[in-house]
Amino acid sequence: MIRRQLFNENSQLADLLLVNINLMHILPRFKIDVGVGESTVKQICEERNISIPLFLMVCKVYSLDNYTISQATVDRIPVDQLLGYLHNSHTDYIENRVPSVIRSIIDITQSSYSSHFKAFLQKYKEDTDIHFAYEEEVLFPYINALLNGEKTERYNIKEFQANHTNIQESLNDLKNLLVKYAPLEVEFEKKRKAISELFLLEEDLNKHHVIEDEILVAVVSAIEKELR
Amino acid sequence: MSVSDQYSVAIIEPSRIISQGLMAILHDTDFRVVRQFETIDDFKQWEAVLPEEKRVDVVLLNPALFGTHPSQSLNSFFPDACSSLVAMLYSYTPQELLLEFDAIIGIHDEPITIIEKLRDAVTVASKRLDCQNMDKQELTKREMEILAYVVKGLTNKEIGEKLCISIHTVISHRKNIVHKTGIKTVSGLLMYALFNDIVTVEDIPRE
Repeated sequence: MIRRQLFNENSQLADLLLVNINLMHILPRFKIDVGVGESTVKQICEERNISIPLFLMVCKVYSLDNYTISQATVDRIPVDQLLGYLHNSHTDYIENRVPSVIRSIIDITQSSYSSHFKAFLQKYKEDTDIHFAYEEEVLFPYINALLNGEKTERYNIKEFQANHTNIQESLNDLKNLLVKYAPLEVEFEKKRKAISELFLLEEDLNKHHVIEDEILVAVVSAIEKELR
Repeated sequence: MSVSDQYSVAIIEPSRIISQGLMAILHDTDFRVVRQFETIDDFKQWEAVLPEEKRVDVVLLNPALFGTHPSQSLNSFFPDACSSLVAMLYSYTPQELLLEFDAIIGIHDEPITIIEKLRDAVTVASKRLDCQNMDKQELTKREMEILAYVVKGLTNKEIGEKLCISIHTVISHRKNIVHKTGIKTVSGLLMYALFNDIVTVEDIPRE
């Protein structure tokens, strides 16, 4: 059980990582490197002009089960930085996380079905790319326009919320199939690597969706109200 | 009648007259009262420490005990619903609460009626358990047949025509396949079918 009080600006970043190593995944999205000694969250964020409420919010989403964000926190999160973080996350998934998982899985599926498995994985990769591209090409420009005071009738955040497609479905199928039918002739170590990596990616994506569905939606709804 | 042939029953009823009366009616039948309680909390405390295989088959309770919190559903008190829940009715109870019970016995029911109602309630509860365990079952022959057509790229309508069944039946089979395998996407089902030798690589159309 991780204590909520740990997540304050005077905590050392190292201490946060020591209680939840999954926070490693968010560091590159804030352009923070690992190995920052005894620096506190405050020092690290101030040096890099990162909003402290945003950074702590993301850490809490990744570390605490059933974390619910208060309106006061929502109000303190700068939207442009939140968008920047989400954009960097998408790049991270597209360029690093998803290809890496796919490589590990291809590594264990050299069976007679490998061409079909590759096609399945290819389809998964395409679905993921389309999912993120929609956010980058439709949602984010809309929010940026809002930030410039432009209000359009054609689109709103409720529409995003209603249509936020679930890319978890194919990922779930992948987990299910690998756990049940990973080829017996493949070395265990390779299977351990591929399956663990897949589960980690899923966990990470779940948290990413919490940030989008709950925090981003709350922040953007507030701006929409102001402009009305 | 030996203990193992009997259904175990717990009674939750504040009135001693009623619970003693029920015990008398159930004496020497296929139901055996293992314990009686005056409040739901007492029952829950007792049940909490019970191993799963010792859970009672039937819980007979007086719905009036819910009187102080009528807005709460039965589900919140008996979330896993392994036992049959039977209401014993002798005062007014809201209709929506009664709907949640597996059977209702009234104060004027004959002993034979009460026993018949309890037997029905046990059947209802065992069917409910079967539904919960369905994902552990394997695909039926028919479901495998349909899965093979699905991964070969046939539409629901085409599958229905081939097997001479309605499109609704095809859809309900497909729902069961998804439920049993836990796999939702068509490309995932394709892999499943290959791994389980339901189709071979040659069966699959090239894109």
